Amino acid sequence: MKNKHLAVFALFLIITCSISPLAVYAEEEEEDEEGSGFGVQERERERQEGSSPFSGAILYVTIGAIIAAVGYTVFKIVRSRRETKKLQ
Amino acid sequence: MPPLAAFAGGEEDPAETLGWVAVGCGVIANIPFIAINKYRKYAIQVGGSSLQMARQIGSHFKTILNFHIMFNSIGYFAGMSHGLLLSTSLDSISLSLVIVMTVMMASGLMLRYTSSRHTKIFNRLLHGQFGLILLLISLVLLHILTGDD
Repeated sequence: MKNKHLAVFALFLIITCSISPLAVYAEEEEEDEEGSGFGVQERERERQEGSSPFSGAILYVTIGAIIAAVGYTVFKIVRSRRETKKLQ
Repeated sequence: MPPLAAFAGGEEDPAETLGWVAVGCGVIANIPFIAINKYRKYAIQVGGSSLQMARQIGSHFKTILNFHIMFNSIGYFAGMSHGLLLSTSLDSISLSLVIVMTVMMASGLMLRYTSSRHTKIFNRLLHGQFGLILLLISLVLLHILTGDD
């Protein structure tokens, strides 16, 4: 039990150490972007023009695959339980 | 630590470095682990002289597992840091990769650190799903190929 608490605390510490320098550098990058307003609009337009239905499909396929994996796992567990009950 | 090490470098893009750290850690953490597990199962099935090797692997399994968890954790946080740094360029491939990595990481951690039998069985089956592993590899490759766009 004590080891679990230590592991959770260590994980929290690692996450904090990882995110804090990123937060500092992310602020610096935002300041750079604010200076060039027209450049941001242009980049946004380019990004919208460049996106395709294929890119959205990948996300839906991924979510579907995860749901299918979870569903298949549940199915396997339920099936093994039924077989165990039948044997009993 | 991985983001700090990436920023300590010279003129290279730290976000890109973190991405490669994540990929490298994933390869080091998973390929030997999967190979050792497959060999152990094969050795147990075959029996004979390879059974002793399987027993030796079994006695060191906790060390091998800790190595797998440690490198996957480093790779996960390096990958998340890479994503946070490049969050303005987020696309569906990157988001899918985040989701799959988080699901694999969460199922792995729950498998290792929960004591409930049902949770362990569920997470063992989920974490070892070949389809999810294939999806993860495909998304990593797609992300690398389309990353410069």
